[in-house]
Amino acid sequence: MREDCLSRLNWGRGLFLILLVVSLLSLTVSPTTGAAPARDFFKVGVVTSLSGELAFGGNVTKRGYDMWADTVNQLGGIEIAGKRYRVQLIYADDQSTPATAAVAGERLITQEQVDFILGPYASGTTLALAPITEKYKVPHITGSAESPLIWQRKFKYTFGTIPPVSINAQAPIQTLAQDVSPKPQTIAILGIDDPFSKFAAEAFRTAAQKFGIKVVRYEIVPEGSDYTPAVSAAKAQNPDIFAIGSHEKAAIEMIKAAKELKFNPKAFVQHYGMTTPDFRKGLGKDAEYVFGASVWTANLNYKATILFTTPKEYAEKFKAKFGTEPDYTEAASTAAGIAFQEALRQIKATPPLDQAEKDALVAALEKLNIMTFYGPVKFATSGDYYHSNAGLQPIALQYQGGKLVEVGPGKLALAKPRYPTPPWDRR
Amino acid sequence: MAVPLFVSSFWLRIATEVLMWAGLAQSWNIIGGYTGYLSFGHGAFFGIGAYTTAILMVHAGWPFWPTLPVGAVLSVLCAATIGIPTLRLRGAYFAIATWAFGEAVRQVATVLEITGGAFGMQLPPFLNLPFFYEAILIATILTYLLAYLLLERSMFGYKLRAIRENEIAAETAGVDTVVTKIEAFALSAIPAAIFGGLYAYLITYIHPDSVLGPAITDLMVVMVLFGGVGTLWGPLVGATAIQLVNRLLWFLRGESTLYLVYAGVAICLVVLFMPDGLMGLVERRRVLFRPRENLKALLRQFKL
Repeated sequence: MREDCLSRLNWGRGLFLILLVVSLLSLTVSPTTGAAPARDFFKVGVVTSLSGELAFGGNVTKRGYDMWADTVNQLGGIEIAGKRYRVQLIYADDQSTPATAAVAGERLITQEQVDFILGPYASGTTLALAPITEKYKVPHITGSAESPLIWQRKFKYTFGTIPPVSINAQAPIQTLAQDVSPKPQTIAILGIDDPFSKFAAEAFRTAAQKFGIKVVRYEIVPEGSDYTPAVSAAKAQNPDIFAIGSHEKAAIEMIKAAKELKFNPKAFVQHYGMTTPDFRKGLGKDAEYVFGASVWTANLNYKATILFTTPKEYAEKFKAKFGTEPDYTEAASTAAGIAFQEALRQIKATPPLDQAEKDALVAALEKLNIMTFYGPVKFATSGDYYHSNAGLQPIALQYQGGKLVEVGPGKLALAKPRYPTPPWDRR
Repeated sequence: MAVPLFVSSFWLRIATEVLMWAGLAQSWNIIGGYTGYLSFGHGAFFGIGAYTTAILMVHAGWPFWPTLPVGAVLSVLCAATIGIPTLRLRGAYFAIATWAFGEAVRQVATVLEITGGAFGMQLPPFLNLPFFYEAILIATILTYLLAYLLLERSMFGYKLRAIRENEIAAETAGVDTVVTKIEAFALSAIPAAIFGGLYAYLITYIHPDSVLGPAITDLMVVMVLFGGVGTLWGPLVGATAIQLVNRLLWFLRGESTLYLVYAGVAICLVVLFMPDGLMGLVERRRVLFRPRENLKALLRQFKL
């Protein structure tokens, strides 16, 4: 026992010695990081969720970024002033947490000395990474994150290729308000309390008010609860439109609840969630007639020149490489790479980029106005959606005959919207 | 500002994280280790500290420093409020109540307007990493100094250990066990809240899932178990080992996620075969190849 006490005492002294040394060390000044060593390829940092709860989405962005880098390298690299420079992607997992996203950014910038960064899948991790890219003045484009919170902060070095969900979710409401008759008069909105879903629900409400559709019920519920009471409350209002702000899983459960309750609105509206294969699988033929929104599908008629000429060509090459159909996030991630590539070509910057070139790259991105297979890429330079892609027009989609069809708004339609949705017992 | 010599900001950030987790693990160790009461809601105090700092800075325009004591006081009040009814009971009730408290705080933060709800909150960016390193270093030193003085060198510490080893005997010997336990729980909430405030300002973005999610508490518990439950240096050793190994594996094997598996296996092995954690090895105590007894001893310590 006595021995035990003694050893404790020594430990105590040991600690203070260690802490003293640490404190002393902390009084000296560290050298600043020097210039990157010469190389003839671009080092591109990628921070995204490869593990943790967002790993699925993180891998979606990874496929999009890989598609860009591999296609560029197959052509010999990015052509700048007559010479081609290959790109090397360096991944850093953000473990689906903001704290790790910040360390990941710090590592890619200070250890790997990357030229620029392709950003995370989720908005939370992006909001932790953006201050780091800001601090080191390194250009950063996210091919997935889109929360209005990111753009409200007006980060100088952060850009995004996907328009905010608040803009995107308007598309199906606008289509229903302008392209069908009789025009729906009322809407009930049910949302989930995560940032993405809540913004979508708010966007439905704003759009409904803008297009003269009366909001008869608006409710936000926690994820994972039993949605039957909330759906039942919406049914009691007998709305023409039932809009769901959520990811696909909750949307599937809400639509199932609506079927059980024999809730027959004239239109079911969702947004991105309904474009996923899981939505289709989870609901089977009950997915039919559901409206949604996206910023990109492989059927659109864009004509482009950089890397891929059409959405169709991209989709075919993507499927040959990964065995799955690309969705809008993969396309937007590839487009993030294309935006960098085109801006680099314009400023004729060669690797490694020095600070002046990185700043010139940001200036070029701000002026960028290009047509890609993903659609127009043009970053906003003012307003609430600063540096998000303002060039792209979101599209309304609907399941018709088991397929996703572009139904609006207006001239974007490739088919007429089917409205009203027949009651459950007559489908 | 002052920075450790020859350290790039990447390693400085990792050192900052390690120090923060060492402090957080010690805060859990006060109630979980020294007192033997499992707090599964300890992350809530971290979150309360983080949100207090965020709300006061964003909505009330406060400077950073004064927000820290406010968060600490709020956490102490919360700890006392939960402790007064639940610490009269023994066994698993406290663990269940603290778990429920943690979940409740997370749900409240998700619903309220002032916390930004599900959108989370952004703090004014102050990207001076050396500042955070120094601040967290000082907070960690103070936490360990507090633990050393109060738990290793005072009557209070003996009372807590008496409660852990045999609560009935402690009471017979004249220890007011309920009050002592509540004091320990309230004390343990203070460092957690301080580090919460520091974290919020360091990362500049907080969300109910990132500062109030179960992962915060889980890591504190695992670090203490790994290092050595109820010892002064166990939390430091455990936090350093886990956070550093996590980051090194992440750094060296960054493109695969296999490092999570390595970390999980290592934690299982320590809990099963090294009942005294890494500190047990340092003190040349034992590696015991009797996992069943080791687990039983652990459960006994937590009165389960």
